Amino acid sequence: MSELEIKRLPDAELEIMKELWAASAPLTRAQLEERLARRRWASTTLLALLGRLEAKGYVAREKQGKGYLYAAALAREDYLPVESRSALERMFGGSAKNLIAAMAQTKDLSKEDIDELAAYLEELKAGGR
Amino acid sequence: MRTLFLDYFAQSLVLGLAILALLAAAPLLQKRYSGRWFCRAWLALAVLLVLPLRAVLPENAPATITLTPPAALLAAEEPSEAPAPLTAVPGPDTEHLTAPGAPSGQITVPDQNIGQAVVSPETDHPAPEASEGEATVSPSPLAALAPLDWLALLWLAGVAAVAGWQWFGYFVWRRMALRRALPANESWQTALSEALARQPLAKRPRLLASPDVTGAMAAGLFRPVLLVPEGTQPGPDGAYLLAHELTHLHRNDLARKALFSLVLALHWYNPAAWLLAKRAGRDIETACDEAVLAALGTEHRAAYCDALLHAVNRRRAPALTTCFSLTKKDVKARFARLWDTTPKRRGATALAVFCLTATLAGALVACNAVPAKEHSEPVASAPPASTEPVSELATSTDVWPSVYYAHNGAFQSSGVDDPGLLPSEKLPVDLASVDRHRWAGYASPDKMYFGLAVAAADAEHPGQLALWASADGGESWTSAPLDCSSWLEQMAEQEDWASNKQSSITKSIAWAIPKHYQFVSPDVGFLAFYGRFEYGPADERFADTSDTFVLLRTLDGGESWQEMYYGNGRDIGNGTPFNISTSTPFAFLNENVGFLCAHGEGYSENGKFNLLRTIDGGQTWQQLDLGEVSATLPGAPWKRSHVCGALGCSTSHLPQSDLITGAEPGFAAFSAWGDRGQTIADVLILYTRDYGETWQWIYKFPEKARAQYTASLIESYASKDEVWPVSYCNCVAVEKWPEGFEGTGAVKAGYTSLDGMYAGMVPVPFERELPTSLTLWNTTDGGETWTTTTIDCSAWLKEMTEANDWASLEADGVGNGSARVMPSAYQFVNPSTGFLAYYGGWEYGPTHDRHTAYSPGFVLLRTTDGGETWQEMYSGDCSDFVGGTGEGISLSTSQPFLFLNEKVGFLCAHGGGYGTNGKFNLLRTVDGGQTWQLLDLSEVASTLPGAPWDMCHICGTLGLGGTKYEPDLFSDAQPGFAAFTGWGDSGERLQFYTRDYGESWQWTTRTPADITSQEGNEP
Repeated sequence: MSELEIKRLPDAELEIMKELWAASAPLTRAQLEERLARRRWASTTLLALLGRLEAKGYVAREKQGKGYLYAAALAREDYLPVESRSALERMFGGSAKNLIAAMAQTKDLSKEDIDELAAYLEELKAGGR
Repeated sequence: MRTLFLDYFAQSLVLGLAILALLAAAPLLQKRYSGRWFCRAWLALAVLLVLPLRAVLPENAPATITLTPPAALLAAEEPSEAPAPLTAVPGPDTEHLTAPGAPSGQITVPDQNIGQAVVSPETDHPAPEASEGEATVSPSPLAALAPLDWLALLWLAGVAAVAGWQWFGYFVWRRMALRRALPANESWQTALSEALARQPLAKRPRLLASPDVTGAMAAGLFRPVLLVPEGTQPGPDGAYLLAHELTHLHRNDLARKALFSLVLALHWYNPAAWLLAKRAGRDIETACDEAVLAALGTEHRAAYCDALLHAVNRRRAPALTTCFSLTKKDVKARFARLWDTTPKRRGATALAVFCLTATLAGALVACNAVPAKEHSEPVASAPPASTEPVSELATSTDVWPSVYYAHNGAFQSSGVDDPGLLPSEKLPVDLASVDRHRWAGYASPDKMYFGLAVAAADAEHPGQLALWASADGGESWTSAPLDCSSWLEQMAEQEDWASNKQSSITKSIAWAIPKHYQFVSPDVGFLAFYGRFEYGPADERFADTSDTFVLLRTLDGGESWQEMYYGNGRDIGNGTPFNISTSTPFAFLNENVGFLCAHGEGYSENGKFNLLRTIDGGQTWQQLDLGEVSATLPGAPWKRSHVCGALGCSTSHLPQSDLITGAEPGFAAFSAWGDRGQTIADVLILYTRDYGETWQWIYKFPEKARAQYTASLIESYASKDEVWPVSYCNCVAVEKWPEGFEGTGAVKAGYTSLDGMYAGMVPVPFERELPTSLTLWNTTDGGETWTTTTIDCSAWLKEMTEANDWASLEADGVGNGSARVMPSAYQFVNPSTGFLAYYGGWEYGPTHDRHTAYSPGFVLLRTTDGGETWQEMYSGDCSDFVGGTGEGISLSTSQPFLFLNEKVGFLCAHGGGYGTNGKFNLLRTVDGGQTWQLLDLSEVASTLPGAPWDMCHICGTLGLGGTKYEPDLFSDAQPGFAAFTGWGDSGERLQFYTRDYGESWQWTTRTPADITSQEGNEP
C-alpha cells in the first residue's frame, strides 16, 4: 500500500490500530475490548470502528470459531510517516524530537560532559563508601 | 489591564528580590535544608507571583509606600541580570530570612530607603504638558493609549507568547507523541507493576512506548502517561527510572511545573523569574531523588545514580513533562546532593519565616502600588475609552460650549422681544434679500465672533460661497470666497445634471447651498453644503437639488478647508440616504465630535432617535443608542422618535433659561418629538453634557408656557354654545312615553337632558323584519309630545354587505341572511346639537340559532339644527384612528360614545387590540367626530392601584340615570366633564373622569350610589 493512499486516522481508529500493532498475534473482539477497556466503548462502537478500518483495508479479519480474529493489514512503519504530514507537525519537520530540540532550553550534554559526570560519580561513590 | 499589569509588576519586583536573595543564600542553606525545603520555598514564591495579591488582599492596607512601578519597570526591562536599581533597593537577604520583620520594615519606610531606589512620581510619569497633549481627542483609539498602556500591552503580548510557546508546544508534542506511541511491551508493564507495588499510586498510569522519547518520562497533568522509548527493555535501569517517574507523579511535580510555567509567562520580563524556574526544576529533581532513595533504601544509591547518568543524556522534553533540561552543572549538583549524607533539618520555621516575609513584602507593595497609581492617574493621560469616554472626546483646546445657530434666530428678529443678535445695519449682507435657505451662520456665545456663509454663485463662479467673518461683535467684517465648484462638478457628474444643461433651456447656475456653518472656536470650524443646479429662463427657473452633501473642516480659522465627508448618507448611519435640507441638522462640539440629525427613512423607528454622532471630525458617523433616555420619555415607548435640529444659545422660553447659555463643553441640545408630537407642548429638548454619552430631556417649553398652551387648547375645545354639562346617558327619564310605544321595540340608544325636558331614543323594533332604517324619537317637553324622524340606512347597509362580502358567510347551508342596522349612540348636547352613531350587521342561520357578523366600523352623524338635518361626520372602519391599532372595533357594547359639545366626544374602543400594553382604549375627537385620536392616559395610569397595569380597559360612558348614578361625581359637573367606568389587571372597577375635555384625568374607586367614593387621585 503506497503512502499516498493512506489517510491520517481519527483518534479512535488509531487506538484500535495501536492495539493490533502492539499485539504479537491477531486478536479477538473480546481481547480488543479488554485492551481498550479504558475507552469505555460500547461493543457496537468497537465493531463499527473495526468495520470502518476493514473497509479502508487497514484491518483484516479471519473467521475463527464463532467469532473473528482481527489483525492489522497496514504496517505501523507504513503508517507513521502519515502522522507527520499534518500542518502542525510539519512545522517541526514532522518529528517530536525536533520539536523538543526547538523547545529545550539547554543543549544536549556532550560525550565529554557525560564522561566527566561519570568520573565525578565514581569519585562520589568512592568517597561515600 | 493597566492595573493588573502594575499589580504584577510590583509583585514581580519585590518577589524577584526575594528570589535573588534565596538564590544567593542557597549554597549556604542547602547544607542545612533538604531539596524538599527548597521546593516548598520556590513553590511559595511561585504562588505569590501568580496570585494577583491586591485582588485577594483587603483594600484598606496602609498606603505608605511611594514605590512607583513605571520607573522601575524601565530598569527591570534591561537585559542585565542584576540591574543597578534593583541592587540599590534594600531588599530581603539571607539575614532577613531569620528576621521576619526586617524586610517589610525596610520597605515600608518611605523616605529613608525607598527614596533612593525609586524614581519619584513626578519624574516617572509623563510631564503634565505632554499628557495634556495626549488627552486631546484623536480619532484612533491606539493613539489615545498612554505609554503605560503600551507597556501593559507589551507585557500582555509577552505573557501570551511565553505561555503559548510552552503550552502550545507541549500540547503539540503530547499529541504527536501519544498518537505515535504503542502500549509498552510486557516487560515494561511488569516493571511498572513492581514499581507500583513499592510505591502505590491512586491510579495506575498508562505506560506507552514511544518512538519520540529517549528516556522514561511522565506527561499529562490530569491523566498522566508514562512514556518509555520504543523497542527497549526495562533492563536494570528501568526499575529505577520508573520509580523516579512514579515519585514525580506522587509528588504532583507536573502541577508544580505548570505553576512555574505560569510564573514565567506572567513575569517573562523578570530575569529572577527565569532563575526561579530553572533552580526550581533542579530542586524538584533533587527532592524527587531524595524521595526515591528514601523509599528504596540508601543501598540503591550507586545503582540509582548510574541509571540517572545513563538517562541524563537522552532527556530532552518540553515543559510540563517530568523531564527537566538540566545542564552538566545541574546534574553534578544533583549527584552531589544524592551523596550528601549530612542530616538535613526540616526547616519548617525558616520556611515559614521566609514565606511570611515574601508574602508581606509582596502584599505591601501590591496594595501600595495602586494608591500611587491612582494618585498619578489624572496626570497620566487619557484613560481608556470604555471607562471615561468623556475625557477622550474632549479636546485640550478651548471651545465655545455652545453657539448661536443662524437659523435658531441668531441673525433675524424673531419677534418684538428678540431683536436678533445684530441689527441689520451691522450685517455685511442684506440677509432679507437672500433666500433663507441660501445662507448659514453662527455667533460665539460672547457675541464677538460672527460667521456667515452665503451662496454667491453666478454663471462665471459656479459653486462659490462667500464666507464672512467678524471677530469684533460685527463692527468689522472680512470676506473670503470659497470655491466649491470641484465638488459641484462631481455631483453634476454623479447626478447627471449635464442632461439638463444641454437642453434648450440654458442660463444654468450651479449653486453650493450652505446648510451649516459653525465654528467651535476661533480656529476650528465646519461648513456643510449641498448642490443646487438651476436652469431655465429668468421667469421660470427649474432646479435640481443634490442628494449629496459635503462637510468641510478648518483647523486654521478658515485659511484652509479639508473635506471630511462627501456623500448622500448611504455609507453612514443606517444605510439609507438622507439630505440635510432641514434646519440646523448639525451641531459640532469640537474638532472631532459632532452630531447630525439624519432625516432619512428608518431612522426614527423602533424607539431609536435619528441622531448620529461623529468622533473623528465627520469622517464616520454612528447612530446613537438613546435607549435609556427613550424609556423615560413621557408616554414611552415611542414608536417614532424624532430629533429635528440642534438648538443654540438663542433658543428662548426654556424651562431652564440657562440650559444652553450656561453650558459646558460637551453640551449639545436638540429639539425632539415623537408619537405625542401632535401638539407643540410635547416638543422636548434632548440634551447631553458629556459629548453624547448620556442624555436627558426636558420639555421645550417652561411649565407656565405649557400650562398656557393647555389652557388655550381647552378653551378651543369649549363650545361657544351652551351645553348640558351632564345628561342622562342612554336613559329615557321622562314622565310620559309615547303612546302605543310600549312593547314595540327595545331602546338601544337614547338620552335625557338634565332638566328632563329633552329626550330622545332610537328603539330597535321587535318585529321580525330586520331594520334597515333607524327611527329617532324626540321630545322637547318632558314626553308630552313625541316626534319621529327616520334615517334610511339601506344604501349604506348594501355597501357594507358588499364590502365585507357578508353573503359568503352563508355557505354550508346556513342561509336566510340579511343585513340590519343597529344604533350605538343617540345623544344631544343641547337642544340643537346631537349625534347619532350606528353600525351594521349581518344575521344569518336558522331561526333558532342566528349568527351575526358586525361591520368593522360605524357611521357618525351630527345635527346642529335640532335634528332637522344630519351630516355624516365619520364613516369608516376605524383604521384611520390616530395612535390606534388600525383595526376595527366593536360597538355592540353598551354606551361606547359620549359627546361633550359639537366638537368634543369620546369613544371607548372595544376589541381591535385596544386596551393592552398599558394603554387605555379611549379615543377622542375634537372636530365633531371626523378624526379620532387615542388618548394618552399614561399619567393617570401611573397612579392607579397596583400600577402599572398591562390591561387598561374603559368599559363605557358614565352618565346620569340607572345604576351608574354617582352623585358625588356629577354634582358640580361643568362643561368639559366626562366620566367613564374602567378596570384593569387588578380587576378593580374604577371611574375615570376629566374636567377639561380629556386633557387631564382623575380616577376614583367605584362605589354604589349611596356611599361616598373612598379613594382616588384627585388632588
